[in-house]
Amino acid sequence: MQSTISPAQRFAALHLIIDRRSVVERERCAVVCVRILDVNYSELDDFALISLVARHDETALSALYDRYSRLVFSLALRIVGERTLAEEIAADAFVNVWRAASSFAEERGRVVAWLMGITRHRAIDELRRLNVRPEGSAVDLDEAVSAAQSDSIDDLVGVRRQRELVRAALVALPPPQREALQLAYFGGLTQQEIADKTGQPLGTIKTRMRLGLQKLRDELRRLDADFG
Amino acid sequence: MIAKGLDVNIDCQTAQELIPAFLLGVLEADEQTALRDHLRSCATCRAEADSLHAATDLLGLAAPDVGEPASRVKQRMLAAVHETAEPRATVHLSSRPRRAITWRWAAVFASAAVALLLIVGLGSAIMTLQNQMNQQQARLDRLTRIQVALQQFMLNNNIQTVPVTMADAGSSASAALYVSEDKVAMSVTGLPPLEDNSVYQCWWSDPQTGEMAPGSTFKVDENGAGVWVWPIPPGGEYRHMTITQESQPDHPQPAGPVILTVDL
Repeated sequence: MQSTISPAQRFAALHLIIDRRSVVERERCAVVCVRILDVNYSELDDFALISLVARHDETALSALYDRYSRLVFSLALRIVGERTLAEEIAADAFVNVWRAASSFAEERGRVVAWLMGITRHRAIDELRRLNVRPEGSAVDLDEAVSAAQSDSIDDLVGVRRQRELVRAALVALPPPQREALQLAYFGGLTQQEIADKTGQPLGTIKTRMRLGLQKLRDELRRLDADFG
Repeated sequence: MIAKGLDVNIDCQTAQELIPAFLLGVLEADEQTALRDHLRSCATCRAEADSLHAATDLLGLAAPDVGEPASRVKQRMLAAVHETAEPRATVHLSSRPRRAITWRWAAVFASAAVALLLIVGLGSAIMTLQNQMNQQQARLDRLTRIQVALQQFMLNNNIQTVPVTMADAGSSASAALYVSEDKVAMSVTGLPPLEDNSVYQCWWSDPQTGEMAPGSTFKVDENGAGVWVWPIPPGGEYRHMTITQESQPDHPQPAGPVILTVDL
């Protein structure tokens, strides 16, 4: 028999029919998709993949890795600044996903944000263990500016779109606020350490971080609304 | 920084200053404790923290793209995953040296008693397991039938969603309904589970005769949920479907309260 709707559409239909509220039903839905409907893992959404990973499905973990390893590796390398160590952190991040997938709660946020959090914590822990502070913790946003100018809105899909949104929002921040956020996020520096590093009063750093994060939130909301 | 070792209550202004560092995971331990205490009791600051959380989570996306990691990373990750898999249960057998001849009969009786207990215990355990397996198998068979029916349903060209109107008797429930040319698929949650002979029943209204033709009966699971695929009765232009709750499954016409109605 020939299918007249795409696997993704079938999956969406299954989501709507079977999968209305319960997590158990969502897991069952993902299993149905790959085992009975023969839907390719790469077509499953993040939550379905996490549901399968929670059932110790290695193919689902592999698909999740293929989708996000580049992002995870980029973040790890940005934080620790050393390629081999970043690779180790990236591998560990996905092993942690394997172990903790069953505790992932959708209300805590999207899978990509969860994965970023796992990676960052692991990388910052490594920095602290090694007692290393990478030099120049500000992200090079030149690439972000050119990308934001050259890409059409239609090209900004999925993770790539989110990536450009975040970069565009960061570019829009006043440089001192951006620096404070980046030193904390990518360098793991406390507010006092940022004050020492930049030679600014602690109160100034606190204000910069607060205003910076508020503006980042507002800018992300605005860009998200503009780009639909 | 807040003085260590003190039970400090912080005000909203201080909390707002600490929230960004808290969300970024770079707050000192004593400040974390004070902020957590404050957030537990202050809805305004908690809302501020929640609204900033998403922005913080996404900051990692600003890291410059450095391309794919080496292929060995995936191999290492999968190897580590294999290592974390739970080891299979192993049975350790140990042999004991033979005791003196004077203990032989005692050992024989003890062994017989243990063997008897084992047989009885094992028999009971096997029966319990068999019972559980039968229940699981029945559940699996039921789910498989539904899944196969859904699969066939979704191979249709035209699947449309149809609005469902919940009646007063079904106000605790929610339902979704999809229609193809000859079948409907319905998902329901929140319906009260029924006991004994009571069933939910589907009725098809024939606009020509005005009669209600009985359709499938069903029950919901312990959570009040269920998914079904039903054929639309042939030979009529059925445009209206009603679900009622009936005290028994063989009523020729609806007698119980209406749960929901659907205009196809």
